[in-house]
Formats: sequence, C-alpha cells, structure tokens
Amino acid sequence: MSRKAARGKPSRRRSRRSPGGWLWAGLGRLGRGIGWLLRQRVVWATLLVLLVAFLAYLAWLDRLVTSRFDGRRWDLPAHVYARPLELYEGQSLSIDGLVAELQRLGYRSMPRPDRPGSFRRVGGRIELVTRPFDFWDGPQPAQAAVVGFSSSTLSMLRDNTGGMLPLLRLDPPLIGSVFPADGEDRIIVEPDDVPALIPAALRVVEDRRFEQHHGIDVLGIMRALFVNLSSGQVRQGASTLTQQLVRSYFLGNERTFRRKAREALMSLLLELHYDKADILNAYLNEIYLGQDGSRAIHGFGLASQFYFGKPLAELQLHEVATLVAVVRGPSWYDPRRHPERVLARRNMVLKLLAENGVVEPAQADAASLRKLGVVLDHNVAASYYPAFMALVNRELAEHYREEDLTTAGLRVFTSLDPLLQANAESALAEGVKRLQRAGKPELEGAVVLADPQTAEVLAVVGGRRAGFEGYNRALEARRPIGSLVKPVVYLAALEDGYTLATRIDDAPIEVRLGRNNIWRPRNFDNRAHGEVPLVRALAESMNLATVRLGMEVGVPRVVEMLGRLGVGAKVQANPALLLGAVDLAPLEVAQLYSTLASGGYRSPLRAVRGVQGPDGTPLAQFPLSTEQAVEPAVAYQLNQALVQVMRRGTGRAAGNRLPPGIVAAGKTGTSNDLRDSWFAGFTQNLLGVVWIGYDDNQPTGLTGASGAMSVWSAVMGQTSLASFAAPLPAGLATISIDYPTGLAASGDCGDPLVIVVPEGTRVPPLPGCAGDEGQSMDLAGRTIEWLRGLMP
Amino acid sequence: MAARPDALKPAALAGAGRLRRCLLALLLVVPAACTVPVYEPPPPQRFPAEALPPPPQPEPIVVPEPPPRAVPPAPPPPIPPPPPPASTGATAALLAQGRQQAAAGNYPLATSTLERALRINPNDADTWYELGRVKLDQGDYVQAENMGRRALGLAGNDALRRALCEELIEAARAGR
Repeated sequence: MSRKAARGKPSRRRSRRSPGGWLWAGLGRLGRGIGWLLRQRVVWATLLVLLVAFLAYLAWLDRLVTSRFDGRRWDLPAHVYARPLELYEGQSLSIDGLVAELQRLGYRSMPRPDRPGSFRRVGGRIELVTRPFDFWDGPQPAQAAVVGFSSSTLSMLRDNTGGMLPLLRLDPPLIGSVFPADGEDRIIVEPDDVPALIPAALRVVEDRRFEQHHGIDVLGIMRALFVNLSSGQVRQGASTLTQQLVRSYFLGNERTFRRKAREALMSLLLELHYDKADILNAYLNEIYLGQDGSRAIHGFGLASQFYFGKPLAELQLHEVATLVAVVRGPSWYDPRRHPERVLARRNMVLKLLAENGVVEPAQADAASLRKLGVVLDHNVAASYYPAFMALVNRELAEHYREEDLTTAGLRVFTSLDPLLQANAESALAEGVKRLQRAGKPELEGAVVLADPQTAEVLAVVGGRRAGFEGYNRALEARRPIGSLVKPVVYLAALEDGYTLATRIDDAPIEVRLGRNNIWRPRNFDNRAHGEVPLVRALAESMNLATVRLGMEVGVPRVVEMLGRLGVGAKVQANPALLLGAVDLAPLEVAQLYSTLASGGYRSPLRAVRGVQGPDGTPLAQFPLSTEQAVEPAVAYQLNQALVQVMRRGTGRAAGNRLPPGIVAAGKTGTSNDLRDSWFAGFTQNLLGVVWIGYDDNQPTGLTGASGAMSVWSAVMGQTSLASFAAPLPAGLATISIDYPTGLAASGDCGDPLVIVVPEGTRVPPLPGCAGDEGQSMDLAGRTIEWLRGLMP
Repeated sequence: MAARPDALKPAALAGAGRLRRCLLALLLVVPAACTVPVYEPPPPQRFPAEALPPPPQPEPIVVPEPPPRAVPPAPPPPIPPPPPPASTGATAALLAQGRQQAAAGNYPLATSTLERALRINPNDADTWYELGRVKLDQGDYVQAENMGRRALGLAGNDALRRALCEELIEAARAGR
C-alpha cells in the first residue's frame, strides 16, 4: 500500500497545471464551502450520528474485549499423563532405563544437578532433582536424590544428605490432550512459571517500546514506514505485542484495512483496561507456535513441551531464543522441518539479545554454538499414542461430556508405560515386516499389554504404524480367537472335577450340529494322538481332545465360563465355539486372560487412574475392583497347563526366547484357514496379547506360533519380567505323571512331569514303571471301585 | 475410521464353508451309514470329589479315595510360589501412609496410595487386606469381601493374617 501511495503522488503533482492564483482561488472556494457546510444543521446532525455510531462501536468493542478477557480466557483441553515412574530399592530397573525416562521427561544433564528437572550420571549412580508435581493425591515437592544400580536392579535410593528414601516418584510424562474440534491446544503458564528471559527477548525482538506505548506504537509505525519506503519493500512490521495478541485472540489472520483499524482500536482498549504484565502473560499463553497434525500448538507453555519436552521454567538461553524465533512464523520457522532456517534466526535473536544488553555477549556466543536441541516429535505429539488414547477417551466418555474434556482444563492420569509402549510398537512393526510376504497386502497386527494383577492397561498398539490415527485393531478388530478359547474349555472341565491328569481320547469325533449336519473337527497335524492327559491336550492344542472334552462338559458351560472370565460380548453356544469360533478384539482377549493370570479374579481392565481439576483437586477415581470368577485352586491347575504350553507345547519357541529361568504361561491361537494368528501369555508382572492378520481377512499362512508368538516374545523379552508365581491353594498336591500318557510316573521312568492335582487324586501307573506306591494305590482304587460297582 | 467391511467378516461365513463341506462329506458317507456305527458321545468322564458312584469303566482314570494319603515325594510345583517382595521399604511406607489416610477418613486418597503399593508388590496380602478395610469403611461390602478373599489367598500359613482376613470377609458379609 505504501508503495502505491508513493507512486501516486507525482502523478497528482503533474496534474496541477496552474499553481499560484488558481490554487488560492480554489482554497478560498473550499473554505467558503466548508463554512456553508458547517452552517447546515443536517451536516451537524450527520456528524453527530456518525460520532454516536463510532462511540457505540467503540463501546461494543470494549464490551467484547473486556467480556472475553475477564472470564476464563481459554478453553483448556484435558491433558493426559502416562504413569509416573516410581523408584524404590529392589526394583528391577537398569540405569539406562532411568536415563531414558529422564530424557523423555526433558531432564537436563548437568555437572551439578541443583535445580528441579536436572540429573547427573556418575558411574553406576544417578544424582537427580525431581520436579515438583501436583499429583492426584496431592502436591509433591521437588526432591534431590541419589540412585544406585547394580546390574539391572535399583540397589540404593537415598536423599542428598544420605538419608533413606523408601520411594521416589518422578513426574509423569505428558502424552496427549483431548483438544476441541478447532484443534487449539495449550498449557497455561502463570507469570511465576516464565523465565524472565522470555519477556525480555520478546521485547527486544518483537516490540521494543512495549513498556511505553498504549497498544499501538506510533513511533514504530513511522519507523517501519520509513524503512519500508526507503527500501521499496515491506521489511519491518510495527505490530506491537498487544496488536499481535488482539489479532490472534479476537481476530483472524485476514489483512484488510478494516481489520487493521479494528485491531488498533481493540489494542488501545485492551491497554486501557489491563496492565502490561497481564497483557504479556496473555500473549505468552495465546500466541500460535506450531502445528501437530490437526492440533495447533498455542502458548509458550505447550510449545516448550512440544519442542523441548520440558516445562518452560527449565528452558535454557538457546531454547528460549528458538521459541522467540518461531513466533515470527511457526510454519516458516518450523524447527523440525526447517532446522537451518530456525538456527539462523535463533542466532540472530541471540545477537539482538547481546546487543541490547539482555545477555552477556559471551553467553550469546556460547548459546549460538548449541544445537537446536528439539526433541523428536513422537515423544510429544498428540497423535503418538492414538490407540491408547482411544481407550482413555472411551473410559472418560463414560463419565464426562466431551465439552468438559475439551474446555475444563482437566488432568487425566493414566497407566501407560511409555517404555513398554515403545517396545511393543517396534516389536510389532519389525514382526509384521519380517512375516510379510511379497505380493500380499500389508500384514497388520495389534498388541495389548496389561498388568494382570492390578488390571491396568500398560500399552496399546493399534496397527503396524502406531503413530498414526486410524483403524485401532486393538480395540475394534473382532476376530475369531481360535485356540485361545481352549483354556476356557479346560477351566470349565477342571471346575467340574476333571484334573490335568485326566486322560481324554484325542481321536476322531463327530458332533451333530443339526439333523443332517455333522461336524468332524480335525487336528492341525491331521493326526490323532490317542489317550492323553488334559495337560498335554491343552499344551499341544489338540482339537479332537478339546472338542471331546468340551462336548462332555457342555458348550453352554463354556459360554457361561467365558462370561465369568470377563467376555462381555454375546457368544453363541455353538460347538464350533470349542475351537474358537468367537470373535473378540485383542483388548477383550486381554481381559479374559487377565482373569486367568490373576488366579481367577476378574478385574475390569483400566487405562485411567484418576482425573484432577485444573486447580489440583482430585475429581474422579477409577479404582481397582475385583471379583472371584473361579476358585483359585481351579485357576491354579489351569495356569500350570498354560505354563506347560510354554515348556512342552505350542509355545515352546517363545518360552525359549524369554530370559532363562523365567516362568511364563500362554496360549497360541489360529483361526480357520490361518486367517488370524494370535498369542496371549503372561508372567507375574506382564500380560501380552498379540494379533496378526490382514484387514481384509485373507489367509496369512501363519499359525499363532509362527506369527503372533514371535512378536509376543520380542515384546516380553525386552522387559524385565518376574516369573509367573502363585501361592499353592489349599487342597492341591503335586504328583508326577508321564507327560505323553498321563499315567503315574516316578523318577527315571517314562517322561515325568510334575503337576498339581486335587489332593487325593489317584492316577494309574505307567506300565513297566516300578510297582511302588502308585501301583498299590491304584489297585486299592480299583478294588474300591469294584466294590462300589457291586453295590446297588 | 471404520473397519473395512470384509475385515469384520464373521466367522459364520467361514463356518458356512465348513458346513457345506460337512454336508458334502455326509452325502458321501450316507450309503455306508447303515453299516458304519454312528458316533455317540461317550459318557461323561467326570470325577467330582463328592460324586461317589463313578461311571462303570474298566480303566478308571482318576478315582477319589476316601482317606486322602500323601503322594510320596513332594516335588516343587510347576508354578513357583510368590517371591519375597522387591522392596519391603516402599510397600511398608505406602501401607503406613494408606492406613493413616484411611484413619483420617480420606478413603479415595487411601485407595490411591494402597494401589500404588499394589503396583509395586501385587502379592502383598497386607495391602489387599487394607484395601478391603477401606472398602468396608466406605460401605462397599462386595469389594471388601473380594479384596479380603484375595488377601486370604496370599496370606499363606500365617494364622494371624488368615484370621484377620476371615474376620474382614465375615464383616463384609454381615454388612451386605
């Protein structure tokens, strides 16, 4: 516009043909005309009306400014946190694991950790100062501590004076927000949270006369005009911080003259009502500083987390300068996409700071040599844990309206374990890549990890591309679970008085489904194995034995048992159910297996621990609840068969891949025509469910063991596992049987396997085994039975 | 994003193919059906401890014997017993804190603290017991009893602990 004006002037000058008298005559005529006009009432009235209209407009703007600025200034999205890492002596955690967590939290490594959010690694020890944090159960102050490690165990935890610390809780990583449709996300910072450097830098770079002007900077506009005119291009803007705030807060980015005028008026009004400190704080929280998919990063508080993964108060000079550089244009100066550009502007900002005496030149020079230090966006992006967040949203939706979640500034504490999540994501991505066959569509998969004892969901992966929102297979893909259902059949049988030593015939079986409909299931290897003990039939996933057993206990019993174990879906009492003709999502399978892993107690899986109000008051709590689904003694017997799956059965390969000595339990699952490859298994501290298949339900050519199980063992193998353990319930006793036949075996006779059976269970001996106690007892048993047979 | 329609193709369709195959197989064997003995499900092989009359079978697989006699050598069970807690210190500290909060009547805080303890050591009978006490005080008798049962299951042979758990279960039952 200024250039146009500059060109326009000479042309008007040229049109002046006769200077001198003509001009004076003209001026005189104009003066007379004005005089005449001023004598007309109509004109006065018009001026008055215009003035009133302007004043009304001003009053309206004033209302607008004050009403929106006085109340709650922003809709605050709910912020979602992962679990806080708890440190305690005896914990299985490596020093690298702790360092990784501190880095995820943006803790700063420094020679003398002396402020919250800093640490130092010295040999096998870590000295750190934790950040203060408002937990659900109350505020926790910063704590200086020393943590010692020996191999992969946390062996020492002391405060910095050497006193005992029973435990130390770190602040939880922020993992996402429930932001509204317009995508504005922010973390509000109070003036106390803001390092003094930031306002100082903003003044130097964006608005030197911020303290002097009243909303618009007339001097600045003139200077900018001069610079732009003399250079022939727009070089300098003259927007004050107030104007930038008004534009961002009240107006759009449209650049019309009307908008400019309105912006100026509103800036003046804002300055009239509010002091500089208030305006500056509003600016710091309002300004747009980046984009993350559909999420707009507003305010320095969130930008600090988004780019550096730590709170604003902990930013160092070079990081502050980077944020101030980004203010000028978050997409042009995107630190992740255009690092060189941002680096250049950051260093210019540093130079300006030194020139204006905000920092020492030496400090600025040192900061100029630093790297940008921007964290990978997958650590902080809202979309990084879409599958887990979907589960969080599902749980929150039962208690909160969407409006509350997107506006009320709630803080949501969840059980996500970022380390496990990362392991699960990479294991699945690598697994499906390895199993992918040329010329086939992309193989997909899903993983759910949970703590079987506390029923907390620790990680959810919804597909091979975990960072992208989309079809969340972990929650939504309901697929036939195949042999994963078998433990339920055996559990029903054990409850009905069978034992793991009970022999069942793995021989061809026909099941009448209807008048002319006979089902003849087959074994995977098309062989029949004859009389086998239940423990072997389950460990080796024998179909014929399982169908025979299931028909004996009754399909409705299996349906009922599924419900008791936590399967909410309606299940058809069809004999095909016995081999897994029931569609469940991985999360539902996790629920089912967590009831087994906890020894028969059903606890609804949870991802949310609690919700906190913006002022730190605890709101909702999602406590653990538990209910006995089956007798612990029955669950115990089943679980030892699931342990044998990993030792001798279809899960052998996975069992071998776990750290030596770790006791795990699990089960493979394969659906018809190898369409779905499943594995579900657990140790004491971790339950994992993996599904692999195609979205369009094509055959994969994979069994549970050749597909999902390899991913499962990769996930579990990266974690510090605690052996599956359970107290031996009363009424059970150990015996030794011959694994292939289920007949009593002892010592070096047969292929002995120690199993636990109800006390008083007697098992016939393996022919050829020593005629010891087992034989005589068996004779006694037979005699008793013979006598009973004689009785009416 | 919604599932692709065929991604959720129900097992019923797969079952239908199997069904057709079964029918075909059936047609083929029908001529021979008169000579081939039709399959009949075997009698149930159940041996519940209390059901005395066992089915008449030549080779009993498992027979309950009235006087239970110990099986000779007692090898270790395939599932190990729970190990001692990783940190008695951390659990004890949280347990003490949880008890204090419960005594002050702040049940949600006590619950939160005790669940922290449980995450560190889920095999601790005392933590389950305290959680059950909190539920009892809150009037949640169902959960009080359930937590009491879990505590009892973990209490081992400790007579005092067992007695406390049983007392809790009784109180919860009485409250219902």
